[in-house]
Amino acid sequence: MDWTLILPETALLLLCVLLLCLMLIRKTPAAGVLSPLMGIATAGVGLAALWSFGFSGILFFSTYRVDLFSQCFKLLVWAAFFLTVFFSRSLHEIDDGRRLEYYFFLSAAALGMMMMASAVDLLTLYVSLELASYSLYLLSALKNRGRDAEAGVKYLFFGAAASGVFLWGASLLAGISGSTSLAGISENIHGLIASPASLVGMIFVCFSFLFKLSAFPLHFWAPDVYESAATPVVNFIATASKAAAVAVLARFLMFLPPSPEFVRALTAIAFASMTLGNCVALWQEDVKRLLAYSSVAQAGYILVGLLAAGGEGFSSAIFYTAAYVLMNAAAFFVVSRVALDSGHDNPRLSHFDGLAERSPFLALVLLISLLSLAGIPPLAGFTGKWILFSAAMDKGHWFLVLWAVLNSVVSLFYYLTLVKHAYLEKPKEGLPPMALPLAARTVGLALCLSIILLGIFPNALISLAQEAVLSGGLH
Amino acid sequence: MALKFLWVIQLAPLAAFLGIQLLPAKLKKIAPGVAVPAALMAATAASWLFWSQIQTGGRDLPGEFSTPWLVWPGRALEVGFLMDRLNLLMIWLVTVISFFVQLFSVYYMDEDPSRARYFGFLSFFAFSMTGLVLSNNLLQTFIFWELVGLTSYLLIGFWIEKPSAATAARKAFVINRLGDLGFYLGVILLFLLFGTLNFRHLTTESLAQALPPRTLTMLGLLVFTGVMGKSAQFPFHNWLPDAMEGPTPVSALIHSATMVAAGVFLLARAFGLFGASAFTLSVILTVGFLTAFVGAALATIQFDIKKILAYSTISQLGLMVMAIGAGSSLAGMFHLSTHAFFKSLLFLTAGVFIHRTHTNDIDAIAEKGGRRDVLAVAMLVTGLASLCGLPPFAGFFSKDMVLETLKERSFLFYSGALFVSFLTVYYSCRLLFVVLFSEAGHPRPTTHDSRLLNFSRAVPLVSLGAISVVMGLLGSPLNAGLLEWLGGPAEVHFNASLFLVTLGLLAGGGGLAYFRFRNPAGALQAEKEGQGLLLTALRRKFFVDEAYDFLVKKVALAAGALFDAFDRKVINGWMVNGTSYNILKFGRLASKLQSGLLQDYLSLAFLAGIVIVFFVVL
Repeated sequence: MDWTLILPETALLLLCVLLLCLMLIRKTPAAGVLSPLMGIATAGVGLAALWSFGFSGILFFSTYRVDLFSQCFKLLVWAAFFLTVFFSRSLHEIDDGRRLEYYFFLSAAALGMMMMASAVDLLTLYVSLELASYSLYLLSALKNRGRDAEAGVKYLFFGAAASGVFLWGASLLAGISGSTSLAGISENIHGLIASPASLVGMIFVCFSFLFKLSAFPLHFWAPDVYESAATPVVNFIATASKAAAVAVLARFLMFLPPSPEFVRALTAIAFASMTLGNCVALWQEDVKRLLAYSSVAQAGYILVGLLAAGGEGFSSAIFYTAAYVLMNAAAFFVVSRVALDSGHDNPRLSHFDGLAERSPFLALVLLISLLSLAGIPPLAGFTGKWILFSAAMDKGHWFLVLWAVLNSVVSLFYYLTLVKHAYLEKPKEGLPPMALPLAARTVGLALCLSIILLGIFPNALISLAQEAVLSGGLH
Repeated sequence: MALKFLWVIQLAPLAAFLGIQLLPAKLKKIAPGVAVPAALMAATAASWLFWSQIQTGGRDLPGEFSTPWLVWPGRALEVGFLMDRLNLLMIWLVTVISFFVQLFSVYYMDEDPSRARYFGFLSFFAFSMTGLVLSNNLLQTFIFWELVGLTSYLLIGFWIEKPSAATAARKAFVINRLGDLGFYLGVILLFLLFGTLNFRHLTTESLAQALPPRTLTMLGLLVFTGVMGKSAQFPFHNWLPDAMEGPTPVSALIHSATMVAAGVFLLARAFGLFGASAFTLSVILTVGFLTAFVGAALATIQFDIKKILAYSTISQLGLMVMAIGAGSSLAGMFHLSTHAFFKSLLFLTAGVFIHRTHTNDIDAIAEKGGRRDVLAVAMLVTGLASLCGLPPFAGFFSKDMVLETLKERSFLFYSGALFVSFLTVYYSCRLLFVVLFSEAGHPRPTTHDSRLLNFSRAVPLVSLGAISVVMGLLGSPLNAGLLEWLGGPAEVHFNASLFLVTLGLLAGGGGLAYFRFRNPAGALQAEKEGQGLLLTALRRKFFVDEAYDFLVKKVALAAGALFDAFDRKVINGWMVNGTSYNILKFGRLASKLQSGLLQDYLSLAFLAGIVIVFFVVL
């Protein structure tokens, strides 16, 4: 077996083991030591992911597939992981005594998500899904102050139900086709593709993926969890977890192309996700909750690309996911700085008042990330939406695209409300300018630049995504 | 090769504009040092090009550089240069006058603190005007047409601290918009119906083949409204006198020689479009006559030297438009060329008087010793002689050609034009006699006339004066080179009867003026206080401003109030706010789903799941 193929997973596993051993020593290192160490370790994982980029092969009795598709998503998950670790430097929501656990679960979740990108067997898929999910349940409950664990418990129950549904669907598919590998199922199911059992199986499996993507009607956990979990954790859920969900959903739909009725059902889900997410976001005062509903709407946009399927559809979904990770991370970057400054875990719209005067740089990062989320040219979000929608138009989903564009208009309202608070409102009396360490400045600048550059020069990434789709499919 | 020169001519002023904008605040005072050399470069390139093409008999003409801009299946919009005999003459005229005016501005704007802005705008004007002339299609012409309108607006209101300048700038801008609306509609319709806007394709024959006569008439009239706005044709003429609020060199360049003549140039350029309909031509002829008459009549009682020249410009533009309306774009363009030189000369002369005496009033100019400036008076005489059509000054030949054209077309318009010429002689002589015959004091000693400033004052005056004298000879019986260049006859016959008529007009107009203004002080007093019906009508400018006032305040505002109500109630209230209200209401409703209770979440999710399963499976 060639170890380079699973280098990033191995590196993450070693990191987890190391953290576990440190926990056994029962002496938590000071935050000032732990954060840089974690930063270095994460960078190491990144190097490993880069090292294995471009390799391909099939491992573990054909249950695990390393190809350009999976490696792209692994890099994406790593980027989100790295940013989360970086945001965790100033983590004040979680006790110092729990830092090791925090990092352990974070690494374990990242490991699970990377595995999701490579899993091509129902069982590997399940294991990696659960590894990622359980780590996230614990992470979101780790804050343990007052009712903060409540959201974690809801997340757990909702996730458990989703897992149950997944297993049900998986058993149906395996039962019909006599195989648990996606390739095997797609080979054996041909004659039975229209049978109720296989349809129900596919829908149920997809449901658990939609749960991870927080699409309607499986989005209910998102607002509560986003509201109560620590900000870096929310960032991780909103970026890495979404990327992994797109990976499995795309992989699943590549192997088992959905029937027209199923596509129509996905259309309805995308339609409802966008509408509900955007409309409810209009009413949110809590910025993290607002971003939760925005992520529900964004899940709808991504679904538009996925249900368009084909090379264009999947590659545009991959591109949009990459852009989404960047712009969401940039938004959470600002939210975490504002939360830190105001000493309030859940910054409200009013906490952003006068941000442009107190820290012009942060306000700029916020502006760029939100405009990109809303899809304003020439930012990455615009280019991403453009190719998503044109892919869907090519497949004849013009009504959905029209609706998505109208939804973008609605979304502009709440994104710009936040911008309005940052730029037009006066800061409260006596608030000093916000200081920003050099490292934070660098990361913010890098995020902004990548959003802008990706918007203007998207071709390299688009063609990479197209190659990834070619490599990730059945043939 | 020749086309490369066009790039120099086109881009040198733009480079000067950008350079001036980029100058740091401390170096702003050297702005003329950037603008004048650029203008000189453009003028030299244009002159060389013009000269070399004359030498070779127009070997490279017509030359076109064109590149597609927006492409649809079956049709395309293009951008490019088209160089032919007509616009080579025009581009030479524009760049040369622009150079002289910029040089003169060094003297005239010597004391102004915001010179950098002034020279920047002038350079930008030169760029836009060049673009307008060189363009190979109507849309590009329209774009630069708007840009010259913009610079005209900026320069009329150059002294932003003067409310009257701001008002005048706004008036010019708004009235031009009115005309340009028609122009733009015409361009769009022409493109939709005819498929191309390239001037080479806009020939009378191809248009008549492709489109029915009524459509052609409509298109021609629509485009002509743009011409009426830009070239100050009745009833859109009233912005031009107000535009005199700008600095005098601006009036010389933009509001007499080049920009306002752009309308006439367009008439000649797209003559195929106008000539395709006889009705359009007669409308053009009528409008031109009204303009020529109104301008000349109003010029007779003005006291402001620039206003006299402005109304005279209106009247002369009317004559050019008449000539083209009578079917001869040759005569129109010839008169345009000579007029550009002698009128800019007159304006610059007026600038010298104004700069010396700090007043625009002819009476006051005379009192403060305007006539003691020998160079200025000599140039005033040259310019006015040309304007009146005194042989052998340039105006004589071009005006005679216009009159001859009209005589062939219709006797009615011919006699109208003769009357206009008579008025022209009268008001020219009135201006001259007031300056010459008034009691003159001694001029204020000037403090800042350095050698450089004297140079920048004298060179443009003398050069323009010389051109005003010589240019006409190129269309005379001695040598019809200019007309031949424009595609006219190689020889012009001496028309003795017209010559006699012209002399008669000169004698009559001059004699009347002399009779009235032997003693200018009393005559001006009488004009200021007279109560006659004619005087009142003239003083109120034939009530055109009042008519506009009524239209705007009563009719337009009432319509505006109606639209405003519709916009508030229906568009904004019902459609916009209604939509957003309903979206918000839906959001409120949907947020109720998020009850915070796990059992609700799960039941909803399962319910939705079951619906989907049934939908897909059944």
